[in-house]
Order: sequence, then structure tokens, then C-alpha cells
Amino acid sequence: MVDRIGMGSSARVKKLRDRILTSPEICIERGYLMTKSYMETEGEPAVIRRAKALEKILKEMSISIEDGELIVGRGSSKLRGGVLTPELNSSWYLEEMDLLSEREWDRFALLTEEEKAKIKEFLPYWKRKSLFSMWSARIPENALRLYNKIQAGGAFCGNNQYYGHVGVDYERVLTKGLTGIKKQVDEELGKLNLAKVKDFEKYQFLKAVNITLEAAIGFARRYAELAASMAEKESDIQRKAELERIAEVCNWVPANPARTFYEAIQSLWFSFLVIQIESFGPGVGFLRADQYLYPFYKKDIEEGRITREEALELIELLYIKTNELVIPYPTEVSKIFAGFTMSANVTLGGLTKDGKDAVNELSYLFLEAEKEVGLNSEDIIIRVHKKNPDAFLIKACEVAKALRGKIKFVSDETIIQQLIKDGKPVEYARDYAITGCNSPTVPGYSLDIPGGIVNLPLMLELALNNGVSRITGEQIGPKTGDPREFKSYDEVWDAYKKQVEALIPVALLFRNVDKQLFAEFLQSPFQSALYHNCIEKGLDVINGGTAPYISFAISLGGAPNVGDSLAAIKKVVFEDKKVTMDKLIDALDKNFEGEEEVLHMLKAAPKFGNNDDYVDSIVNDVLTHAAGEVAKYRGFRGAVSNAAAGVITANIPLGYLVGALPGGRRAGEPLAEGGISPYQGRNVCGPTATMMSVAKLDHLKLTHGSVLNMRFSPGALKDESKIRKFAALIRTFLEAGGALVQFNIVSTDVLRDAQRYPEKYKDLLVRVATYSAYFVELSPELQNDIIARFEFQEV
Amino acid sequence: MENNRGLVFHIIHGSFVDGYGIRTTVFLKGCPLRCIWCCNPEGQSSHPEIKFTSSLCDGCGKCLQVCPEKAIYPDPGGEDNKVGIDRELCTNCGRCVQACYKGALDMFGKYFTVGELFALVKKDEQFYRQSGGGATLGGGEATCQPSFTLQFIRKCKENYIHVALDTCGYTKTAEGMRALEEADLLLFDLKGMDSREHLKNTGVPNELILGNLRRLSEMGKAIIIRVPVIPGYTDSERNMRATAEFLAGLKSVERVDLLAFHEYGKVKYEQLGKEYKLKNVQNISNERLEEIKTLYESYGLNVQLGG
Repeated sequence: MVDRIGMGSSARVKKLRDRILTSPEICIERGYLMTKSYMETEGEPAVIRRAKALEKILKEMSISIEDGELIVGRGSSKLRGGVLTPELNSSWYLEEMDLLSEREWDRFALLTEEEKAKIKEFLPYWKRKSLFSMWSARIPENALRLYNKIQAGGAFCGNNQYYGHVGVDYERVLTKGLTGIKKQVDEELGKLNLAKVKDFEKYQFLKAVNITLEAAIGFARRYAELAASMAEKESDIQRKAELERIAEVCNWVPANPARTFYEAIQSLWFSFLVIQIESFGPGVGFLRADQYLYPFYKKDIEEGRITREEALELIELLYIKTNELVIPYPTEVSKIFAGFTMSANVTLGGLTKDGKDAVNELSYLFLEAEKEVGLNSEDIIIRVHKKNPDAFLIKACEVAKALRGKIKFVSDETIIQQLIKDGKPVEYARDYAITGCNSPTVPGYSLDIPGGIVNLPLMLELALNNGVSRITGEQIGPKTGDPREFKSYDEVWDAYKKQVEALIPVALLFRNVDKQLFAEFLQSPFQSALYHNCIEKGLDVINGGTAPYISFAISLGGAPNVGDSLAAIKKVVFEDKKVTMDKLIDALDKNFEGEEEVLHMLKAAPKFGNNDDYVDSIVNDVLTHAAGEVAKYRGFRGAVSNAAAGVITANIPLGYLVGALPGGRRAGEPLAEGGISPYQGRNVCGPTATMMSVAKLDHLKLTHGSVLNMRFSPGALKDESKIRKFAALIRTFLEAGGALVQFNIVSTDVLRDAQRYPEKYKDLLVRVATYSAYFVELSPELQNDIIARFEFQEV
Repeated sequence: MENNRGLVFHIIHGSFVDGYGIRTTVFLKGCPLRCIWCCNPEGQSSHPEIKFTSSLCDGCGKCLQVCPEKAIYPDPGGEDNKVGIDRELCTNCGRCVQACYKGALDMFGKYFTVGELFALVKKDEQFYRQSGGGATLGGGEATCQPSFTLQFIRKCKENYIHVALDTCGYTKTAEGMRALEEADLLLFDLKGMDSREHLKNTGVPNELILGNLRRLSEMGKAIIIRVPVIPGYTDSERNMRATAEFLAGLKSVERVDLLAFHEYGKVKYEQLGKEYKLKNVQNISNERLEEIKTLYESYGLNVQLGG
């Protein structure tokens, strides 16, 4: 049996937590109301249409308060609701409506006939209007045929997500209230001279912002009214008082500045929720909640308004709320983002803006709450700096052990340097938070979002097959010469570089057009109001509102496979001369069938993850070169174009497209997971060796982050002395140049048992990619990929 | 030059056991003891040994052709089309390993110079600094390669890297004794207080071991005692009590680690073509371990479960 985790610190939390462990369902309300609004506003400016659509949804969507809830506000009409975003990608809903409840992973409960009929009624409106259909129409045909081949997830609109990964400044809402922000908008409106073209553009945007701010306030007031009317009918005295309190709180925030910790949490939740309803996407987090909430907590504690336990319960309830939303992905896309996460990040610890230790009592409380909740969508990131106390890091390790991994650990030393390198002032850099999987951003001041994952192993395959895919026979890349004629390692490397140099621009095209279309049609005026400079500039966040602090990234997938393969070619073919290029290419063509001898020699060559400079330096070359290609081109609105070593769960679908590789991987098998994790099972020298292989990579070239997953057997962390060693291990990695590390602390036996008896393991969380998911909700293939990761044992 | 090279069969970068902090543990081949429960049987012989993993063998027969001693024979079980090794004839020359492309034949044991081994260990230095860790020499029995072990210990100390020596204490050579004296920390195994039982279980009597331990303790060496708790062999109340009593009389024992019986070594017996003698030994219960822990603690000892 699994140890029970996440019991909740109170009966209330436990009950609400248990309720959420249920199958996701599709809620059609948002999609329906969005469509109706767009039908009504045809001909109006795009940004105004956006604002009015949000207004309509917030006014008309169904609302409810569950028994026991203290923090209220729902993003859908379902308990664990997947929301429709037809404005992004509409056609797939029609095609996959039934598949959604049948597919092997990310399954939704069956839609009712009534719901299906309604979807069929309103979806056709979007036929040529959804962002993805417009995107597809704009991309030249010869590039479009490479979509989801050379890369995955390169157009957010195609993924059916907004770009998420945003870092707003919640402090603005908590201290000014939305009314305060609206006042600022009115001031800016007053300054405009509509005879000026620029000012007239600002005018449209600012008007839209005001519509959304008022709509958000109205949304909260609907909850206030609902709570008040429920209170009237409530017979239980305690619950009645709670409902009255909820009514009072929702009447006050987010319109006004929060006065208490409770109001601050409720205001925060409404802000988060409206951001999501406006622009539904993963990786919208709570950012540095231990920092901006601390003054409220401190004041309440000092003035005796709240106890530590009450504060803890509120945080737990906030975590649970984030699990009420899931994103329905088209089946192909769901392979990339498998596991239903919203990646609602909370970044704790690290440095303050002025360079001091930022850990405070709330940092501990947020950790403690996670130990009680431990569901998949809330995502805890521990910033680690030399100045942070060991007690905090060790506490985080204990929570990680209790949750079988889950917690992410990131390096202040590395990430602050990365942000400075990308042009952020040092005070901004110190105030970073992580959004999504691994994206560092400066809350309130910058926009730093990803833009697809390129398939580097495919590019190596193209170099070793004259530009042709071994799987499909399609000419994908340029003709870089007959690989059988390559006479030196440098010739192989040059051919590979040419493929990368030809194909990364295509991935950039996909990414840039995606962002451009969001700016043109789907701005986010509410979200923009929560940054510092969008209102002053009169520009939406996706339209340059945070300039010059914008970066758009490309993630580099499969670099360890390319490194392992190039190292094998260098060693076995050109140094030891055991195999000729001719023989190697034959073996790849045959997917090593009947070529076991060649395969064995290739496998015996040095492999990434064992602290062997021979291959580690090649992986570094691969990453540095590709990152350099990404950085050559600026992004939309002058954005810095940067790179990450990350792959989410695309290591599996991207792997389908790649034939046998010289590193010894067979055709169709998954690529290396995480982003910079050694290829599954290849790191056999121990955890410090794996970590040093990664830490030595030049992370100043990977300024959007990198992802290392490691797996430990729970026995390896069985007592306090082992946990301390684990903490020291993490600290060393992060201080030695690593960026991010996260763990699965679960034995193979438990995972195998969970495959056999899924009903016993409903809340068994695993780190899939850079987020957590319920193991039993994953496809068998992805489950096996997790099991294949090398498990560091106790002995 | 043979003296300058050490025969190593395994290295773990980042061990959470084998001493304080995060360790790099180096396993050296050769051991004077033959403990019935030995979990590193590949550490016993002082020579490289062929490792045969039959589950990886596809019976291609290439090894048969290259073996100069005709020590490999086909089809031992008659069904699965694999090979067997006559260990009497095998000289561990390693030619079959070169020929095997399935990875079924491999070698336990690889030679390193002190410099080569130190370069590998030094790669983990940042982890030692953070955790108070260092290198640990284990095995086998490191003092079986006394000159290499002593030189390696000195190399670590010159570089201010903490070095622990995991030993059975059965050491007669002068250089072996120097190694025990110069290591920063000893992980000293104690496998039984009754010499006749000790002889039966490990192949040697225990007087030399106890004498060495007493002497090292008198010198004030930092020592962690490791007691294997093997049901039916070492776990009797009498032996546990006698061990605790003996340890209580020593000066510089910092901790006693109780190492519970496990079967992780079993597969390696098969790979070496050796017989696994511990059959039907029950795993020891946590309750029993806690009992033993309490017993040791009643003698004023600092006890830890596991290494």
C-alpha cells in the first residue's frame, strides 16, 4: 500500500482535497459565451471584442460555492473542469469529441448529448476565425509541412493554449485594488490626445482594460451575493458565519486593497482566475507568494487576527483551487503536455530584490501546506541561494520525500546571471520567479515565454541521411551530402550544424507568427493591467507592453541523444576505426537489426550523465550551437530570442519521428526526457556524476532554463542524515552551475504495482516532465518511460 | 610498476552511505575473508574475473571460438541455447569479453594508477565540501592492495580530501597497517566475537582483527564500527551483547552501524559462477533491529541503522 500523503491540516481541507481526485470533465460554458460575444461584437476593435467577451463570460457563467469552501470562485461549472477555447483551435473539438473519453491518457468524462449538440452549434463560427486556422493559413506551405516534425508545440494557438508562463505583479492588486488600477487607467485616458494616431491606439486598449477591470470586480460581487443568499438559508451557525464572511470579503476584494491575509488570498485567487478565464493557459502561477503576502500575514499575526494554523488552511485551500482547472488538449498535443497540469507555480526562498535572504515564516508555511495537499497542479519551486538557511532547504527536501519528488529546486546563482545576461537590471533579476516548467521571469516587469521544442536528434538523423527522414522518407532538411562519404568527425558535425541552421529558422517562424497573431487578435487586457508598464504605455503585454524586457524562447529537445550519438561516431568510427561510416549508416538503416555487434560498440562509447568530458563537451557544443542559432534572430516586438534545454513530454512523440541513432537508441523510442536528463538508464556512475555532467554545461547560453530529472529510491533518503546529504547534493549542483533539478523518489516496485492496481494509487504523483501528474492517468508508454529512468539506490 | 596499479571493480559517485557526508566509494578487489553472507563476491579474488550475465546471452557462440583454454562450452541447460564457463579452466584472460557484443560477458576489475583513480575521485570535490564528505576505499578489502591503498590515501590527504577506509581489520602487512593508521576515518567491520564461529563464518579467526581494532582505538583513530546482522549467523543475543560489551571498552568509536542482511549480492554469485550459500535466510525485522539498537545503546554506544 502507498503511504497516505496530503491528508490536509483540517477536516475541511481533507474533504475538499478528496473531492478533487476525480475524472476531469469538459465545461462548455466559456466556449459558448465567448462565441456568443464574438457574434455580437463583429466589427469592433479586436481588443474591445476581447474585453467584452471576458465581460460576458464573467457575468453569465454559472457560479457556485462548495460546502466547506472559504476561498471561492470557479473557472468552470465542473469540479475538475476542462474549459473550451475555440478562439484558439476549434476544429479538433468536433473531430475528437468522442475520442476525449476514450484515449489512453488525459481522458475526460463523456460529454452529454446535449453538450455535444451545443458544441456542434457554436463551434462552426470559428471555422476560419480561430487563431490556429489563421496561423496555418499564414505559414508558407513548405514550412507548414514541417509542423510537429522538426519541433513540437511551436504554436500555442495550435496547442489550444494561451501562452501562460506569465508573471504579473499581484502586489498591485493586493495593495491598490482593481479600483486603484482603474484610477490609473482613467488618468492615462485623460492624458490622451485622440488626434494622435498612437494615442488613439492606446485609447482602444485602455478602454478595453477598464471593461475587464470592472468585469472582474462584478464577478467577485456575484460571489458576494451568492454567499449572502446562501448564508440566509444556512442553518448551521458556523457555516452561516463563514458564508457571511465570504460575502464581506468578496464585496471588498479584488476591488479594494486587501486588509487581511484572508482577503489577500481571496483577491489573489480572483486575479489568478480572471487571468485564466481571459487567457486560459498553463504556467500562470502565484510567483513569489511568500514575499508579497508576507506583510499581510505578519500584520494579522501581530494583531492577533489569525493563527498560524488558520493561515496554513487558507494556503491549502488556495492550492486545492488550482486543481479545479485542466486544459483539454487535442490528442496529438496531449502527448506533449500529458498529465493535466496547470503548473500553477509558487516560487519560494532565494534572494530579495536588494540581495538579502528572502526566506521568511511564510516560505515555511507554503511548504508545509504543500505537504498536506500534494496535488498535481500547484507546483512548488525552491530558489536556492547560499544565503538561504539549511533549515529551509532541508525542510523542502523532507516535503519532497513525502510527496515522492514533486518539489523543484532552482539555482539563484545561475538564474540571476542568466537574467542579467538577457538584459534585466540586477534588482529585477534577483526578484525572479519560475513560471511553467522552467521559465524564469520578473513578476510585473517582464514577459518571458517559451515557443516550442525543436527535435535536435531528427536534425542529426537528417545529417546522416542527406536531409531525408529515415522514418518517412521525406526530404525535410537540406542535402548535406552522402554520409557514407564523410571522412572525419568534423564533416559529420558540419552536416549536423547545417541541418540545425536550416531548420531552427522554421521553428522561429512558427513561434513568431504565433505571438504576432496573439497580439493582433487575442490580447489580454485584464492580465496586462497587472504589469507595471502596460497601462503607461497603453500596450498589451503580448504587444510590447513590458518592452524592452521580453524574451521568447525555443526549447532544445534531445541534446543528450545527439551528444551520445556524436560521441559514438567520433570514438568508434573515427578514433578507434572499428566501424566505417558505410557500416554505421547500414546499421542505422536497418535499425540495428542483425547489426548487434555495431550496436554494442556504439553503446560502449561514452554516454552523457557520467561526468565524462569526452561526451559532455559534445553535448555542450550541441546546446551552445543550437542556442546560438536561436539567438541570431530577435523575436516579435524586439524580444530577446533565447533557448532552454527542455522537452516536456514531447520526448515521446518526437521520438516516433526519429530513426535509429548512433548513440544506440532504436527507431521510434523516446528521446532523453526532461531536457538535459541523461538518456534513460545511461547514467550509471552515481548521482554526483550525473549532476556534474549537467552543471558543467554553459548555462549562460541556456537562459530560458534547463531541466534535469533524477530518480531516487525512497530508501536512499530514509533518515534525517540521508536527507541532509540529499540537501547538500542539491545545493552543490545548484551552486556548481546547474539551473533546475527535480526528483522522483519512488521505487520501481511501487510504479509497477500502480500499473497493475491503478485504483489503489489514485493520488500517486510523479514528476513527468517539469510538472507532476497522477501516474495512473498517464499512458502505459509514458509510465514505462518514467520507470526506465535510472534509479539511484540505497546501496 | 604492478604495485602502483590498483585493481578496482566498482566506483560509486555520490554515495550517501560509507562514511560522513557525500562519498565517492571505490571498491578494490581482493579480500582475506570469505564471509558466507558476502554481498560483494566479486571483491574476493585479487584478479580480474569474468562476469557472465546469462540473461543477456543469445548463444551466438563467438566466445567459444576465441577462448584459448576451451573453458567456455555451449548449451549448458540444453534448451536456452546459451553458454557456460568452466571456471576451473578459465584464466580470466578476457578475450571472450572482447568478442561478446551482447554485453553478456564482461570483466569484474579494472586497473587504475593512483593518479588515474584520484582524478576520478576529485571530480566530486565540490560535493565533499558542501556535505563534509570525501573518498571511501572499500572492497573487497583495500589493505589487500596495501601499497596502492596507502599511496592513494596519501594522495587524498595531500589534497585535503577526506578519506575513509572500509576494512575487515584482517591486516598483517606493514603498509596495510599504515593505511589503517593514516586514513581519516575507519569503517571497521566486526563480524563476531567468538573466534571459532568467526572462523566458520568468514574463513579466518578474529584475534588479529580484534587486536588491530584495539590498537587503532588506543591511537584515537576515528572509527565507525559496522556490524552485519545476519539471521542465524551473527544475530544471536550472545554475540550482539558480547560485541556491544567489547565496543563499549574502546576509546574512539564514534558510531556503530547495524547493517541488516540483504540479498542484493545474489545476482553477482550467478555472474561469477559461484554458489550462493545463504539460502532461506529470512529478512530481519525492523523490530528485531530496533531491539539490537537498544541493546547497543544501553552500553552507551551511538547507533545507526544502516550505513
